[in-house]
Amino acid sequence: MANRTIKYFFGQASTVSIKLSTVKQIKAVNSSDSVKPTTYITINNTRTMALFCCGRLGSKSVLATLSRFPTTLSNAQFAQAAAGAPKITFKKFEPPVQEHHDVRNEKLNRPLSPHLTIYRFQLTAMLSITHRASGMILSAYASALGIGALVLPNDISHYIAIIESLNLSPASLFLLKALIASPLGYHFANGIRHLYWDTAKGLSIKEVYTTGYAMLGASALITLILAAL
Amino acid sequence: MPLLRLTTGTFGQLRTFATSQALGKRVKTFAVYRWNPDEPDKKPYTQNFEVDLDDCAPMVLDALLKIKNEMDPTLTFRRSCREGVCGSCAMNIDGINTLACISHIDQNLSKPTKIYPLPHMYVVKDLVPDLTNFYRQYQSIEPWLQRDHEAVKGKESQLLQDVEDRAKLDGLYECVLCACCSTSCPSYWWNGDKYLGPAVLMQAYRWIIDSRDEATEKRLSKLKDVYSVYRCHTIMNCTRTCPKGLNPGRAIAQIKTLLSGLVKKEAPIMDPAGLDKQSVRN
Repeated sequence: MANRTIKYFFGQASTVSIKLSTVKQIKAVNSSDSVKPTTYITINNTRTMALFCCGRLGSKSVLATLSRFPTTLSNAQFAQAAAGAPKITFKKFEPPVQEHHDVRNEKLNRPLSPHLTIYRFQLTAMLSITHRASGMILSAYASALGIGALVLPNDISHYIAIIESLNLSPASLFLLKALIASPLGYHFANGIRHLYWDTAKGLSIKEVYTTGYAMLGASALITLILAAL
Repeated sequence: MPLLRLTTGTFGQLRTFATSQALGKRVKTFAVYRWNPDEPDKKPYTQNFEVDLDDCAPMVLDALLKIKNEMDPTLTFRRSCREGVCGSCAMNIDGINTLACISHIDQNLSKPTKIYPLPHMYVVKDLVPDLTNFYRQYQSIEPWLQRDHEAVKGKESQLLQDVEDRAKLDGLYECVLCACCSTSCPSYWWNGDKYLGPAVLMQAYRWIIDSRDEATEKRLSKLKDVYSVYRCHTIMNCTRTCPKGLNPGRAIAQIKTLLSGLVKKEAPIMDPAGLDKQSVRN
């Protein structure tokens, strides 16, 4: 049935052949998920199908006129076509079940394209990740101080006295202080930059870069001032 | 003058002849990411191709096409317009997402040009990523004009928009949805399923800010959750990479100001339904 060719004779004038497989293909296209038909139309009678398809060949062609006036056919054939009236069954359209994007791709064993390892280091992303890191360090400071105050037996002046008793050189002391102060300096300066951005200003790439470098300078300055205290 | 016109062609020919003699063979290596779904046991790898730049047009896409035509027909990538208006050939070239058709080949012959598919996407084959999720997200923002009262079919009239209101869409509507920005965003890498990403959010803003659109409240309330917009941490990789020179980062910041109530959408300068009302009056 699938690939059989239906031949239909219109008197002696012409022969129309329609491969059923092509008709099936049309149906297949309709049922794919990109196009959403509201109904499937199934036509069971092969003769009516032929008539139907003839009509589709063109609105002005001779064939179309022929099919619209079936009296040109022999009476017997027409009777047959009419008797087996087109059986059109309507089925409710059911959207195809959408698989989750990740599930589908993992089923297909598709690899994830490389990302962090191949993306170029750019000021934009570097400043952002540093902002996050410095924020985490600051919260670590806060929790260390808080938990320390709760748990440790002596208060902070005791530990400062210990560091003082180490008799570090002023240079290394300055360096140590700068190291501790730098996350604060950076997070403070970049935080102001982010607050400015939250007003949707200063977000052209040129401004992002100039404020970026200015912020780096400012954070270095804040760090130095804090370390010099 | 006719004499000049006659000779121009000749001089042109002479010049190409001279340059090709002077430069000789300039060979550039292209390291291209390869993965074939028909060979599932084989892990993704990079393959080197050597292209003579004197025998190749200036853009990276030209080199890729040359490789595909002359060296390896199995190399797979998307391309269409070859002039930066379709957004098909988006890929990661030398560490930055861009359109292959409008990025020049790096003339430094000592370093290979590395070409990868868009980062952190499922690979269909070679340089072709699966953009289904990206398109679904675009669909989710309902990227079409929405009015409270849709015009009756056959009786539509033109919606009015002031020049100033129209200017607000500049820098937004030009987006070709190449997904360069979204796939350059680390936030989108880690939260791509729930965070909409810069490209889609810029289009969301394009419809939010349109003076003719009346679904602003609905559009904004749809974005009001922890992930859709607020996974943007103003990293600004998106704006840095956009091959069309647009600014998705700013558009997201503008959505945030609207969401927080810092800024209100201005009333249209010209009543969009003005023509309609006029015809009723007449």
